[in-house]
Amino acid sequence: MSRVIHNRIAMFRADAGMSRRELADAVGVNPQTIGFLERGDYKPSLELALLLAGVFSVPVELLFSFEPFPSLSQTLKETRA
Amino acid sequence: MIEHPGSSLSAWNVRAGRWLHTNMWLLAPRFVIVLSLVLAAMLLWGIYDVSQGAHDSFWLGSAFFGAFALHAGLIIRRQGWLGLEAPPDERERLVEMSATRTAGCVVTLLVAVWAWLLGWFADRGMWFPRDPQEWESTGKFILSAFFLIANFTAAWMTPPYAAELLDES
Repeated sequence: MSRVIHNRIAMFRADAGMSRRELADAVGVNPQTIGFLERGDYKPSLELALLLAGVFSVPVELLFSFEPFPSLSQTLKETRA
Repeated sequence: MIEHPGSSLSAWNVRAGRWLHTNMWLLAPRFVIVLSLVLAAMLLWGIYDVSQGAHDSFWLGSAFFGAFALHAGLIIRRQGWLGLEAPPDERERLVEMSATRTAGCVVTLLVAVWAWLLGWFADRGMWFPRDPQEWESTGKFILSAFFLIANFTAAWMTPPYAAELLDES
């Protein structure tokens, strides 16, 4: 089983004004691991996924998904329609 | 040449300075890949030397010492004992486990094939250790091969942009 898992960690991190190191310290991993996660080169454990969702105070399915997340412009279009 | 503060050359200089200062370049993935290949070549030359009757091969001894030192250095760094990095997280532990498993499988397979071939060709001149010193060299060869394959695999599984991620943070 090797399905692609999409995530919005970079977006939520930017929104929270956090650096990779700050987010890494918050969840107890190496800053490089946050970079690998953001680039989709590493799939987190359930524990790490829940910890990341906890830092941003959002449900885990808002952060990770099997389907690609819609772009911001697409979301705006759908909201306006 | 004018160097702009935001240029890649400037960033490279800063990174190179930090790496040289902390000696991190000694254990960087690409350096580990090259060093592992060089030591593997020395190791193969060393076991060939032993098979030709050199009981105390310089190449095998150097490769064994180098592989052992590299492996020990990487373990010390990964565990964060040098103070340069934090203890390994789940991704780093996964890379280490995968590399160790790969090395174990490859070495076991090679030793099994060697033993199998010996069953067929030992009587027809295929080399095998006969005295204690040759057995000792063979043990060093197998152990070094394990260390080198494990370190090579772990370095290979680390993307080249890993160091840049540290700078960006």
